[in-house]
Amino acid sequence: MTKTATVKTIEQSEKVGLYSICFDGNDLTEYEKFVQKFMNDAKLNEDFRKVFRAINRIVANGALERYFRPEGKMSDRLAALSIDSKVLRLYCLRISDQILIVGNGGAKTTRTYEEDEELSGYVMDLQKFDALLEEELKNGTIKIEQNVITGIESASFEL
Amino acid sequence: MIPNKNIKIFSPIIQEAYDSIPPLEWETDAITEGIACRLDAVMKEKGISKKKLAELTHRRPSDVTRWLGGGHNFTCKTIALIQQALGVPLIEIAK
Repeated sequence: MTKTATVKTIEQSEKVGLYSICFDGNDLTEYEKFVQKFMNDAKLNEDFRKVFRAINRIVANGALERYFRPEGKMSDRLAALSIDSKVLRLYCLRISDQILIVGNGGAKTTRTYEEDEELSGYVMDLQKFDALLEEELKNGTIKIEQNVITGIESASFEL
Repeated sequence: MIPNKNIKIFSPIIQEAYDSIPPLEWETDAITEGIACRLDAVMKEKGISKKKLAELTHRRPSDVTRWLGGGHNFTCKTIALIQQALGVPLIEIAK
């Protein structure tokens, strides 16, 4: 089933533009849903704070390679945050040192995300979005200008 | 509390999450990020890969990835281990 998504700016600093995907019919972006879900989770709140502070480091200093570990295929830009939590995962697309698109995530209870239906769904959404974004960038419909993706908020993507 | 006032936040939920983080955690992060940043610079300067540092410290490459992530709560022993492997200090003790 195809889902329509738009992109919203979540945070903006001199170093980084932080974006997230918002599916049609949802008030919140995928990253906001992640934050809302785990911010007050008694069991995972400590891990959530590690993830959230890692995002803050990125916004403050740049989406530097050392903050991430690759999660997807060689052909995509899917990454997870490199943090001490063994449980909580947040998936992102590291477009450049200045652009990060944050998706959703959750508690990883299986060895790989592929074994978890919910997590692999989040990963697939980001991988599909990554391919569509690449096309739009090639078409020139949207442009990356340092820490800003120009035209992205008026574009919609069929995932 | 927003540690960096030059960050614009466009989401009330994200703002709420910022406000929920205790100041001590931001303070701790400034230290752990400082160590990670220094480690990254030394590794680049000396041309040492993650794999090589893992070998030198007898730790897993995934440990090195976590050290570089900026949020790792280093023990003094781990700092000493890395310093010994790299041959340079990561932190300076005020005298």
